[in-house]
Amino acid sequence: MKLTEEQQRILNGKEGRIMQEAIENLVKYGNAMGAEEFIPISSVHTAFSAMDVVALCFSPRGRELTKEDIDRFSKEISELRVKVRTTTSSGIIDRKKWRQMGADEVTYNSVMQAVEIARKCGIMATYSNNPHLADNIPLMGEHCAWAVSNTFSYINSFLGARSNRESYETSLYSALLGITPNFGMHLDENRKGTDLVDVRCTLENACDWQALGYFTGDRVGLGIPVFKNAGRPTIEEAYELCASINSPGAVPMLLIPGVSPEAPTIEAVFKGNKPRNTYVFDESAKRKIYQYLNYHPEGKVDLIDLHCMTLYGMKEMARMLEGKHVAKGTRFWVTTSSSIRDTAEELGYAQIIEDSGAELFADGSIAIFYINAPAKKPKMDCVATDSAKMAFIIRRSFHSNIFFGTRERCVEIAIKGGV
Amino acid sequence: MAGIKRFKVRTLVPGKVTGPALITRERIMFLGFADPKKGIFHSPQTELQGKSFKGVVLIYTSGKASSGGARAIDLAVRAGNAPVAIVNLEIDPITVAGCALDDIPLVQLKDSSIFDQVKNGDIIMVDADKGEIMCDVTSY
Repeated sequence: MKLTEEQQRILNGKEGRIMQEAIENLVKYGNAMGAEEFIPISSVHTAFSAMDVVALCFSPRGRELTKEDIDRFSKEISELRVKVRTTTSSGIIDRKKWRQMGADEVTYNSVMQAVEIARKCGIMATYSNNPHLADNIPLMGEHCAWAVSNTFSYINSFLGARSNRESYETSLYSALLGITPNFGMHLDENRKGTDLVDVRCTLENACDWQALGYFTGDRVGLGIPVFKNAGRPTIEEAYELCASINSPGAVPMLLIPGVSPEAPTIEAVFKGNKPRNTYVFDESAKRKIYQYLNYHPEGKVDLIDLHCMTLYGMKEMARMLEGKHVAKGTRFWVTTSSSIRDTAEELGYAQIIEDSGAELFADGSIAIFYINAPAKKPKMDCVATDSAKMAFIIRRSFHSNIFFGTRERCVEIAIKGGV
Repeated sequence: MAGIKRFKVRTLVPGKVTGPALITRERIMFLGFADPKKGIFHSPQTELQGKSFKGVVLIYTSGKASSGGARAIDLAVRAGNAPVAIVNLEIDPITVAGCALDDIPLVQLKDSSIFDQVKNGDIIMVDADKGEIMCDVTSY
């Protein structure tokens, strides 16, 4: 890669060890991807959940980190400031309800240390997987370096912003440096469709859109699918489509003609090329995905796990739960970001949701917390969710039976206590 | 059948290493499918479940899903359990980051023929510097 004088100076260590390693690693990454130069970016979405985890992005490499390594790193990075607007993906615990989750004080303190260091570094510790809805909204053509598979897919597909599939490591380096290697989704010639998906059934709700996403990700892999006759998703459906497509796939961008800013028509998005494959998504294909994502969804349900609620989602949840009660012996988790929870509290939605017996959490997926945390996990023999991505993760991590279906059905199950 | 099979590759992260093949046509997510501390694939969602990836030349179609994949590769390196090289047919930038940061040779296949010709345990020499991988099939 060709570096500017300023970049060369950082590479020579003139801005300290952390900055030197950040650019060294981005150069290695850029060289591997065939990039010839860096380009300036305006926004980053990365992870910054606990210092023992963030420290893994830097040396020493090749061995476990000691407490001294982590302390030294924490001190060094506290003195640096990110160059661009930076938000963080969902964290480990709810900063307010960590005791209710069963988290211990050590975990809590470690998270709060990261929040404080993030503040010093100029990183907004939003702990949200919906940054593009509120805290970090790039506009058309903006170059970004975003981690978290559903988010970069969303900003490429629905905002026309430009980000590759970044890792936690490379996105953090980019935040510190304000640059990213110029390849892939940053280049006009790569922002075009590769595969066509002909939708021949109705998409009635977010779960149908996720079924389409799951079907597509499984087939196109790293391609850029173009959806024909899919209709128009709501903002929630668009988001869920991006999440589900990146469970079986690694799709940086998808295009819906008439909806995606860079897809005026089907012909235009292929830029003169023929699709390499055409797939048909019909009722039968849709049914098969539901059959795959539902795994023995029978009888009593221990837990209903709903995720990444928008404020609109919270409003709807309050409408559905008003005056109702979650069945005894069933837990119902509703998860959102802190900022949406705060607004939902102001608007009275949170109270209605909690009065029903549902538990409202923020800052991260509570199910994911139990994958790694030392806390005792709740009964999860049968779990209901409206997220294909979580259905996949929960089944893998807890060997649970899974009901996958609409939010409305999940609420019915919560009230009844079973399928 | 005996001899050496050669496959042309594109080099992403250079290096020259030898190890037994662990091969699948699947797309693999390191975060979720792999237990970096034990060096095995532990998820029932991959046909590699139960197999060790420590010291192998890991051959698969591509990475997928979580952007934590690079982190999981790094954790395997830190635990001394990493593959010696990764061979992919399609290139996911997250796998590239994982390999580039920890200097794990990474190459891209020109076509999918290797999946018909190599089986688990075959000895593979990855010469990323020369853009070639060789498989010793003299053993069977």
